[in-house]
Amino acid sequence: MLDSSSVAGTTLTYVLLVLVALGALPIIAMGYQFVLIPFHAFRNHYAKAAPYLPRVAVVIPAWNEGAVVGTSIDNLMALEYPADALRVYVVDDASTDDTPDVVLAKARQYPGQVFHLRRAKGGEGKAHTLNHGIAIILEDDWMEALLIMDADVVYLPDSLRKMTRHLADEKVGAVTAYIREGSLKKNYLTRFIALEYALSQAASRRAQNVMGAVACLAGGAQLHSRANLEELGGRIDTSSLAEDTVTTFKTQLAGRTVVFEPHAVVLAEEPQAVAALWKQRLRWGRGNVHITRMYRKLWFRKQEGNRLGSLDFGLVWFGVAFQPVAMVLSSVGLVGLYFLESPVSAQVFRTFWALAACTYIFTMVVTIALDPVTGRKTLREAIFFPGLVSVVITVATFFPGLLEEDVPALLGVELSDGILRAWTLFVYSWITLSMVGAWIVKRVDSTRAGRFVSPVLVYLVGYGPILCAITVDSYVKELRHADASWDKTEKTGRILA
Amino acid sequence: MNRSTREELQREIDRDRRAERMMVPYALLAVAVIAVIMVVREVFFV
Repeated sequence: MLDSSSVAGTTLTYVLLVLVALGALPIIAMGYQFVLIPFHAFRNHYAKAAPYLPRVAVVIPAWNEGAVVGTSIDNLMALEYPADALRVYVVDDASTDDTPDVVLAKARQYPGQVFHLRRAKGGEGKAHTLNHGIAIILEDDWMEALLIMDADVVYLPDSLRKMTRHLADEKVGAVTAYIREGSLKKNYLTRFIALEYALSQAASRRAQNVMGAVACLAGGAQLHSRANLEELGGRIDTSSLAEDTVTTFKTQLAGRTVVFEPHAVVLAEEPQAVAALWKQRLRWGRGNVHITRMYRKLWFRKQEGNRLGSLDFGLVWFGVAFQPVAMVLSSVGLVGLYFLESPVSAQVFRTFWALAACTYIFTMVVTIALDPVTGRKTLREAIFFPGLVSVVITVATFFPGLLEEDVPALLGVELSDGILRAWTLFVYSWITLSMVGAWIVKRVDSTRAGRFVSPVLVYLVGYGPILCAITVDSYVKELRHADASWDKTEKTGRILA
Repeated sequence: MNRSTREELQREIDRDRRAERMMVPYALLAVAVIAVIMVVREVFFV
């Protein structure tokens, strides 16, 4: 007969194992996405694409973009696209710098192609600014497709025509491009961001093409058919900080397809300091929390005409949103098993970490292979994306005895049981501690020493944990109903033109 | 759109479509890298 403490211990062990399993869900979601990527070879939209050069109206929201908007307009005018089928509308959101002068000078330089639209009252956010321009563009029937872009992005010459070809299929409502980090002089952070964009766009968006559900049209590269825009009510949602994601969802819920075009490349300027990155991603994160709530009746419910409610898309969506929670659950599970002195704890830890390591290696190799331009510049960041500490733990897990026995033996030392136990407890907890480390990076970055210490800390703690910590911050801010004003990322025009 | 432009754009579509076939060897390369690490582990550390 079983005694009650034995039953409680067994039950607790199972509970902790479930926590570890839940913690592995984001890893499984990531692995699943990357396993889909090779299927993009056969399941893509190219068979339905056709030569098509519609009249495109480009709308650029601009608030104090004087440093960058002139170059962006010149770049658009130099696109390999028929000049008589391209118009640029800069919606000046009551800028207080020289944006109006720059745009008006470009309007004189490109008569009939560049237009300056000014809002008398600004500061209401990107969506309001866009809507001002879209309403004017829709007043006549010249526009056949609308390109929404940011003032600072640079389109490669062939990118627009590579996007429009998908609109030849009337079922396609919108097309997005591959936003690549394009700073002329990259620092450690922009290299991490470059790699992240290759992972989250060039790679993951291909998987979403295969799934038949795209999570987000990039804010700097959204091409809509006129029919789609009119079906959306001729305006962009203004209730969210992630208006581009809302537009993406609404397009697909209306039964239209969203296509990611990986060969259309758009260069964007990204933050060079952790504080600026945190501010930008917090806005995105809060927008995603808002959308998760907004579409709460959509998740994991099959629907006619779109795959947003499918199991796999839900797994991918919540794999990102749920990741910080998963990290904490896995740590709690592993540390709990350790203190229970469960005989399975070491095996569970090794399995968990090996799954994470294999997924990580697979994703990085695929990403570097499919964007070798970025891959060549970010090899160091590819290794240290999860942080040096996690890399050491991965090596220790993959090669049992290497760090506990072989390396100390080489150094002529022997690790005591106490040190080994402390090390074990540390590695079991690191998944959660890494987010605390990320928060410390943010604090240090805003100090005078941050300029020198931050890069070291980012490589140590990892870029991935920083993104997770920002997600936690977005949960907290949303729960507290903190002020959600639209806070623009500062741009300086240091993009690779 | 004249005929030569149309043909050029179609060639571009076909070229990009063919380029996507490289996704398969890229994935196989990633599997191969993992396999090599696993072999090293099994031979030297287990």
